[in-house]
Amino acid sequence: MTEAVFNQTFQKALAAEDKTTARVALRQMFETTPNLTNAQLVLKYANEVGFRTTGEEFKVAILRAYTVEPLLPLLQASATLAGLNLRVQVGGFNTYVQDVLSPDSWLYSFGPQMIILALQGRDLLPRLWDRVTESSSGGTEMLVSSALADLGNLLDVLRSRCNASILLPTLDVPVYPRAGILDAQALWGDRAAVDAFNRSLREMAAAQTGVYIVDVEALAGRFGRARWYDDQKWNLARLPFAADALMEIAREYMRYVHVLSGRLCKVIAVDLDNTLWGGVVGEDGLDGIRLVSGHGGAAYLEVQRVLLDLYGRGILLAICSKNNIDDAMAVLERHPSMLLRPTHFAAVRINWEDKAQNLREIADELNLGLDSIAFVDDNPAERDRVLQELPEVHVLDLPENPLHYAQTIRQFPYFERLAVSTEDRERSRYYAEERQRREIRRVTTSIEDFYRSLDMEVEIGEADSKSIARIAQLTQKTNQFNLTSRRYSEQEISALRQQMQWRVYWLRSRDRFGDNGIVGVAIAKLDATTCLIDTLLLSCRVIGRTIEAAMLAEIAEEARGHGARFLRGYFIPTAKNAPAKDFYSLHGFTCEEATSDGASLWRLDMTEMMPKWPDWISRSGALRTA
Amino acid sequence: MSHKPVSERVLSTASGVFQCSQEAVKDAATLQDLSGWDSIAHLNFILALEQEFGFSFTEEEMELFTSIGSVIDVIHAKQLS
Repeated sequence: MTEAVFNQTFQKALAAEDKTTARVALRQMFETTPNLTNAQLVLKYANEVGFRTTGEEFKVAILRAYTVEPLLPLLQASATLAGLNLRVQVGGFNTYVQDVLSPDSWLYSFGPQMIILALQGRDLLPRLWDRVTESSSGGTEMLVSSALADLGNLLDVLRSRCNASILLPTLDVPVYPRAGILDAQALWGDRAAVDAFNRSLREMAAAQTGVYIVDVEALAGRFGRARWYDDQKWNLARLPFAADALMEIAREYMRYVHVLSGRLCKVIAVDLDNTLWGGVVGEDGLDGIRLVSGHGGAAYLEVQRVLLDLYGRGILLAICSKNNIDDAMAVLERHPSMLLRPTHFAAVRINWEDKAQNLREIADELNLGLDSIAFVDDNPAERDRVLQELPEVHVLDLPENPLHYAQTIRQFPYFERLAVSTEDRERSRYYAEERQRREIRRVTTSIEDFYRSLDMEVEIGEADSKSIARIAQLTQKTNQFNLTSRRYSEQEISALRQQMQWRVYWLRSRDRFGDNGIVGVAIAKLDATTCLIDTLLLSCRVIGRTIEAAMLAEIAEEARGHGARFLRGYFIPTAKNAPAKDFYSLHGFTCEEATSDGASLWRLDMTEMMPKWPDWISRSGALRTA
Repeated sequence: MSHKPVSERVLSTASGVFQCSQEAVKDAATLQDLSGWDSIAHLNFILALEQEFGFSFTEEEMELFTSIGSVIDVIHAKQLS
């Protein structure tokens, strides 16, 4: 549909006071034709049709050496449609240095979350742009390093005076280099100088916290450098860019606003038929679907590649498909061209139920809000259904041509990240493993079969210098399966393990899906008759698999080895540790004493009963043999 | 591309950028008489027209942008050339 159609729909809905339709039409108008006129329309009618912003104000300061005002309506309209409460303040023309250096500058009283430095090659490397040819390559190199030094000083001051995230632009090259094709040969030509500048700029940003690069140079290249500038507007109003380039810039800035204001999707839920592969597996069969490049499969392989990229960024993948589960799983498990396998998916809904309902379940299963889910489906009817039923879910508006699906997903701003930690990279894998564990739990008949099917392996050891940090962290962070919730610092753990009577144990677990790392801690105090359990905790990742029994058995054996007869321990209830409530009674302890604040002291006579190591958990590198 | 007459497209663009009714735009002797006019709004108006009509204006043409009538004339002339 074209803008004109949306415009008509919008006007009609507005006249009929049908706010929902008006909102949808206005959004579609701006999204299909994101120009200044439509931006103004969005801003004019935002209140009337009921666009709501949520959350705190996000303040952006723009320090600039050129006219940025035409960008503002585009930024504001984009923010309005995203429900963001954006406030932008712009510094004086070409006063960016004063804005930063003056301690009582408007900048610091404004208190922005994000600062955009809107500078160009014209400002930072003027001699390059003004065509004053440097006679030597040494001269250009000097030019670059002095420009960098100036910018670096400015950045240091800015960083020391406020906590805002700072966006630095890469510099662009002049559309036509001074030296013609000779520039391509020169080690310090226009292109080489700008490349050198940009490389150092990245290093400068990486060395600071909260300083990020906006790759304007790449943006101009993507758009078409020759169309990017408008000399007319530069001469008239000091606006360097052509009208159509403005939205590209606004969009790029909005990506940073999204990340920095936490408007992110954590899950991408995808359809299968005609989205992950070409054709319908239920009709075309495993051999009939299209997944080979050159044979109608390229578009779908590219979608899978994008999903793998997102997976690597820590975004969870989920399947939401109407299909026969056996047909679909056959493709996921066995089709030779598939890049994605069942292990990549954190949640799977393949059935004939309503997709909105399935998405609700996915959100529940992953413990995330519906607003962290993005939904990708080639079928407009399904997309519409989800839009209607679950307005919080981000439904990607896929284009007609499947070849453009991947691009659409790649450009979605809610998948942007400014940093990817090791934990992010591991997250997808961890969720996928957890889903498989749950699936097994569902198909196995008895709970013991489930435990056995996990192929669990546990290793217990005494705290050493390598494990102290993790042990302290677990005592500080573990809330659910934690008998006493005593919190210890690294120094305290370190001190405890040097005392004769005290034992500090770590527990590491593995199963057929992977290594969970150190997930348990026990701290005990031994004397001639009694072993007092001071702390026993397990990370919530491994609760409900009898690993705590293994931990207890280990402590008991060690205590018996030292001649102790009794095991004793407190249970101290908190708001969150109900999962550990029955630990002592389940393991044959008797309650000796209950205090008024709900705490209880338990005792086990080991001459009557020894805690048993579960026979479905194998023991590796055991402490006693160490 | 829209098939509406040029004058209508110019009027609706102006009323959007200057945040006023189309009648107010028609009644104003010069663009500067509009309450929403300032140099930035003027620049935005030019940019919005360029997006609406898909061409860009020369400096000489932009100098003629004083009243809504002259804007319409410039665009008519440009479309004929």
